[in-house]
Amino acid sequence: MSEEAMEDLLQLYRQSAREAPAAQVDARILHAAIAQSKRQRSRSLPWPLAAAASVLLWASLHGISHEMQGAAGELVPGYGAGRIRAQLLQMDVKPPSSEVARYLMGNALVPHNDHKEISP
Amino acid sequence: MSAAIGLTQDWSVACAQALAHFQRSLSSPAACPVVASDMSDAECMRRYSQGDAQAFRILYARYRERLHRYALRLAERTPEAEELFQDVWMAVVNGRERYEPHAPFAAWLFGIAHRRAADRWRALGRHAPDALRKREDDDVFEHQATLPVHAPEHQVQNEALGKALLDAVKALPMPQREAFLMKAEGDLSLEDIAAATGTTRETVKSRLRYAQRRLREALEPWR
Repeated sequence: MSEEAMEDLLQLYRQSAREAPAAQVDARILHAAIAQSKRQRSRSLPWPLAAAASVLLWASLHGISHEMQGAAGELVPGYGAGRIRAQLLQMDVKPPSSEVARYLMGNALVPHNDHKEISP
Repeated sequence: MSAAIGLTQDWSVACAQALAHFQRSLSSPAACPVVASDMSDAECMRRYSQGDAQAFRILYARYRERLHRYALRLAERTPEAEELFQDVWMAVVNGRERYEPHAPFAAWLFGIAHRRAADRWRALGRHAPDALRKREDDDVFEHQATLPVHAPEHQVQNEALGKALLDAVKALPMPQREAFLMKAEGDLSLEDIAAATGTTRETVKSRLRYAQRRLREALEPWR
């Protein structure tokens, strides 16, 4: 197969063959292709949308629960005091382990008798 | 009054020009600026598979005429060629995620066209493009029908030569015709034609050699 002879034939063929598809055929194919890509885009869209909706839902629920807590504190009598009591009950109430610690804690909580003797 | 008439005429001319431009852009996608895009075929396919319709327009504008001529010369009648043409593009649209960029897009496109044509003509009970392979390899093609002879004195030289070549291409045995068209329209290498038609590089080379000999014989009266 001679390369030059083949190139001559190809060149002559490309000069002579000038047919093109009809405009209706173009329109039909492009329409189908574009419809397909739109369908694909609409399929891939729900993921970010769903994520955004979840964040929005979480934020609004979080805000609502905070508001409800605040409202409960204001409207229910003794709500604040009860909450503090519950927190105190959860604290560590074990007695001090050493004598010194017990003495110091006792000194801090109760005024000492020696103090009375000195002050007048 | 005359100013009003002049304004109306300007408006009509402007409308006519806009309409003509719109019709041109609709009727010939090849003339659109999308053809001039620097984007590679593989990049266009990647973008189209992600939903970018403009990328498909670029590919379509690049290959619409080539694939159409390929189908036109492979099919016996124009409606068949148009069906094949649409069928191939719909396969590209539906199979866009199956395209692998290591192969040239043109080879993939013409490979689809080859398989679709083969399926179609098998269903119609005709010779599929690869049906004559064995006979061709045995050089039996030499005994097939002779090419049409044209009288050069009745036509303008160049046009006649071109028409004679197109007729000669159409008269080639199917495997040779297909190999020649893939080379001429798809600008495919021997390896790509072999991959697209499911045969070997040597077979493609042989088909092209035979096609070349036949075409040169058909053009001999013009030389």
